[in-house]
Amino acid sequence: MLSIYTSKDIAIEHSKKDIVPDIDKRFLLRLTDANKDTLYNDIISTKILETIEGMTARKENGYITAKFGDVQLRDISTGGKALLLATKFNNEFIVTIDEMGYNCIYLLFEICKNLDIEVISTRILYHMKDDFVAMVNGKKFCGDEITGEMERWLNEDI
Amino acid sequence: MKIFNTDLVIESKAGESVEIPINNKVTILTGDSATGKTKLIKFIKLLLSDSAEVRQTSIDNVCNKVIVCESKDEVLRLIKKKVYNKIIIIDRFDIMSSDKKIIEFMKESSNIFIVAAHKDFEQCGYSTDSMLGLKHDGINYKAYKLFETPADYMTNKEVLI
Repeated sequence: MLSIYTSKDIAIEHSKKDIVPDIDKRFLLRLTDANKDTLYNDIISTKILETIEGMTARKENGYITAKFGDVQLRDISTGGKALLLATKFNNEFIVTIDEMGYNCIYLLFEICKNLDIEVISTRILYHMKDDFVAMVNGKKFCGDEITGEMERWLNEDI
Repeated sequence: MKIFNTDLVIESKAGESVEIPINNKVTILTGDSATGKTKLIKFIKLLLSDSAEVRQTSIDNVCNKVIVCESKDEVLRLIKKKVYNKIIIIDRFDIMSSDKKIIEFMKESSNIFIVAAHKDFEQCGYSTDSMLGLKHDGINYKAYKLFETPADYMTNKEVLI
């Protein structure tokens, strides 16, 4: 299930996982020379790379063939990196989804049906499916209730 | 707020170019993840470092000096330096849009801003008229007017390059 926190402070209150302060830097730190060909080779990571980055083939040395040509994993989009970190290291990290585009967010919703993932979102998320269930700051909601609850928390901050 | 009607053109001697229409003080380059926003900004940085020509298509312009910021620290450095009358291009604006210092700088300074972001800017109080998508034909980038409202943008799947 997806757990959404509307601020870093609330995430610290509810979870003991490490909050990732900078997606790009943390992604680079986890992607070492030794593991760059194997780290994101699982089914979920491959699905993310194919859907978001348009990956069509893997090459040696951590290179993939994506929509902008051959790129190293370290050069993929920040949204893609955030999604890979959130899913691959879901037991360790809480990532901020503010840098994810809606294509990443919709894929995250799909993946969360089978995986527990915690994220921070300081923007209100819209267009929830009626049967989609998520926790917002520790309470369970479904469909548009999620948007409503996020509005309540985030508009309070303003 | 001052309204402009010009295109910013950055063109290298080899013919690679970037064209971005500027109508407002803040122009927002938007699109889903991996649509080329960061790629475009890195490309502009490369063109500028290769002494590309910067020009505008009307006399409305403020100046032809472009500064590219790829991180929050770089923007904060510009604020400290009190930079003025420049075109400032900012990547990863999503993580900066809640920083009051940066927002104040964008509102008060005489600079023009082009920012890359994902989010629906109704929440930030920006005009959605200035949201632009991207097109890339292999050598040239062109930004174009996208949709009327953020909601249209979010529900339309055709924004990918």
